[in-house]
Amino acid sequence: MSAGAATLRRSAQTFGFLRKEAIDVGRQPRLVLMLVVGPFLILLAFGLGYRRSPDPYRTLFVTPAGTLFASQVQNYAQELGKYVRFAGTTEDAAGAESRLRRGDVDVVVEFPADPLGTVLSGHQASVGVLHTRLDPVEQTAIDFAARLAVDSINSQILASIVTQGQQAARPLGDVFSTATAAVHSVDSAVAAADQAGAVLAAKDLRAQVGQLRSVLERTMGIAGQLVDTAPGSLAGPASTASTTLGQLEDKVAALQSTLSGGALDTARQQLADIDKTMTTVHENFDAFTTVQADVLVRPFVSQVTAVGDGDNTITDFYAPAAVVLLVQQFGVAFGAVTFVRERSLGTVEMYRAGPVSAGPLLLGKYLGYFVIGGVVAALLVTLVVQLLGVPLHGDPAAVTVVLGLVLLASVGLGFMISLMSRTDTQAVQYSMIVLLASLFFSGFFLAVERLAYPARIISWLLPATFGITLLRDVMLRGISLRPSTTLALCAYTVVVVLLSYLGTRRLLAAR
Amino acid sequence: MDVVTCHHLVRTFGSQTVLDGVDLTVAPGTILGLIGPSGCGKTTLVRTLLGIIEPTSGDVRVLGTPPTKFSSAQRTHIGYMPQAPALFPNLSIHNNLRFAASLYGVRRRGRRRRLNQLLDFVGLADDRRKLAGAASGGMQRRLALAQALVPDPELVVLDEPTAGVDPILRARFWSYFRDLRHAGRTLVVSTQYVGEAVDCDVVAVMCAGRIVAVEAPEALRRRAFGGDIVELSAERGWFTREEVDKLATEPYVISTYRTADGVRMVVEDAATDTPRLLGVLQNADVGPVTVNQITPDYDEVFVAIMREADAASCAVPA
Repeated sequence: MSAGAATLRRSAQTFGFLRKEAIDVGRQPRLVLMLVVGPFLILLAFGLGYRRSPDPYRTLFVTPAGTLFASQVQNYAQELGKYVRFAGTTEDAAGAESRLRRGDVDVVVEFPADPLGTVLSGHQASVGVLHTRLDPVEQTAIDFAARLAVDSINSQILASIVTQGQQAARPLGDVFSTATAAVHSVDSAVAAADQAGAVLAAKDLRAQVGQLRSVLERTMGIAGQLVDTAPGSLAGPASTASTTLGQLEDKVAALQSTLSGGALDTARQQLADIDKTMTTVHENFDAFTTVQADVLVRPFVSQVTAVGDGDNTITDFYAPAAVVLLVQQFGVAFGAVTFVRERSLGTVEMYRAGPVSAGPLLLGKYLGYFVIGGVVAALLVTLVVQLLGVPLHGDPAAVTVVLGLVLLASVGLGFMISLMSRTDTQAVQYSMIVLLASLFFSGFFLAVERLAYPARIISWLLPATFGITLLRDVMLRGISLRPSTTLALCAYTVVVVLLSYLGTRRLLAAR
Repeated sequence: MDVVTCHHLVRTFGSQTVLDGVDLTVAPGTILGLIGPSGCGKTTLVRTLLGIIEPTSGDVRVLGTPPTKFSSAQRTHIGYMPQAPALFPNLSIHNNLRFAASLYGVRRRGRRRRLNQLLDFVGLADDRRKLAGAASGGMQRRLALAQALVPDPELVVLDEPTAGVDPILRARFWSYFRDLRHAGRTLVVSTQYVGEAVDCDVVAVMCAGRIVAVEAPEALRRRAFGGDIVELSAERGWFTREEVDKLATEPYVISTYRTADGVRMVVEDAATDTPRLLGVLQNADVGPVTVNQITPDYDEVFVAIMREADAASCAVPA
């Protein structure tokens, strides 16, 4: 028989398998409907039902009698309104814990009995947080909220102290005016070439500067220290003012010396420098007293911006991953039962006896599942974009490439499962294990980067891992396919296709 | 050239010998019946002829080639109907047949006509749109036969095609087989139904992996008993021991045994020996005697051959 006839036969076989698989799946409309509509409805329900912010924790505060927290605690709770719903205060720690165990409240916050004493003894005062949550994610959320709450309380305390310092410093404005007037007196005497008058005025100026420094240090003592030691301090204006005043005193002393020597021209230059320094000190002082205390104690705020469309909803985030996961599951599930089913139907026996070779058989099946899976994937993407409003910032062609590769790799993985399995049940169980592994290791729930290295090997054995990374990039970030990940998925696909081919040859070989 | 030749064919699975030195030839245009009890190795022999199983030793050639070395093109000359119909339940009868046609590379031109012919042949033309899964067992068997015939093969191998089939359909199947034989095809048909031997041109009786007899059906019958069987009935109702012993001493009488109705004897040739027996009995003054030639059914033939072969290994009660 000619090579042409053999080629025609192979083509007929390939098309025969394609047609057979397509009709076989098409005869199960409910299955196809479930494959498309089912996952879409689940995504829709998830999107509608998911609340971005959890309910605030009902929080009961335990404040020992006589502590400074007793009167402030409700204010603290209000500030943390996103996380905390104020459920009252009590002095009874044991009673509060009982209420927690009964489920009347979600969290109990216990303030220390003598925080001031603890702090003055050089230790941090501890705020206890009790809860009954088992979910590690919720535990982390409570831990996070507790840290935020304590930071907020610390900031409130700092701001209060700074405010007191600012109020105490305000009368210094008069002292500055007097000192400035003294500078002008010296200047006038120098201009009039009145050396004696200038020496006298300079003496008065030195006394004013000394007083200014003394009062400033006294009134701004605590606040100035707080500002200086605050994280990322902006070289605290109060501290700067204090330092500069020290320098100013030195300059006035030098001026006195110059005036005593009669060098009025030099004195005029020094006086200009002193005037300039005085202005700087005044400005620093004004800055300290006018900047809001809250800004001084918390000078930085974070501003987070995601590349691409940062305003993703939870549905936006999960939809690409869900599409990839479903496409993978389609390929794995159908691939996994195909040979097992053919073995149980006895058709493999027919292939062995007939002129069927592994190539057309595998290619026909691949094409069959690829066509049906492609339609399912296209419908899913259309539904999530059009009906759920999930963004598609990237190139739709890139989406096609990603899902096509995921489908090919998944069908190949399914074929391998099928060739290894002895029964339908075994094949279904293996494909369920793949699904379960994908939920945990593919980046669907947890980023792959959060897994320790040996566990990541499992991740990269799953087509979904590559697909989720690529599809999120394309759909949500709007960036093109990462070459390394795309090539890795291509290599994965080639390997599983090759292994499936070898397995199919073995299946058809004489025993 | 013989379509099938097997010479000292042996196949073992682990320590179990399933084919134990099978020697067999099948001439073109004949129906070979492979008859034997369940587990005697019929299916293994069939699968070896198709190249699904490799022989452990010995030589086997089908259409002149060892089956494990068949090219794809050579495989299109062989049709195979497995023991259980290999059908896709979600495909219609027509689509199952069409799928088989694609496996054998049947050209698009003429395919429709070929499939219609086959559907007519097996009487499924009116049910072509019915799903295979919804078809009756008989329909599925007929469809499987049609699949085997799709490539218009020179050799058709049928593994127990009538197992579990009602007698009417069995008769129909054998009618199909004879039609195929008349069309010049060679058929190898394995069966558990001993009675089907009569429809074969040659019958190979298998027992414990061995072929214990290969004969035409009639010759097989003679071989089983060593000659023709005649039954003698006396009008008076009985034969004495002396009378029977006297008959047994006649040189053309091979064996004698009593039945409820009289005496059965295996003789060399019923046509010539019956008058001689009657002469002996008239001389003995037995009175009126009736002599009938008995054609034993193939169950009896089969049991007799099994006993002759190896009663223990073939599990045939002595």
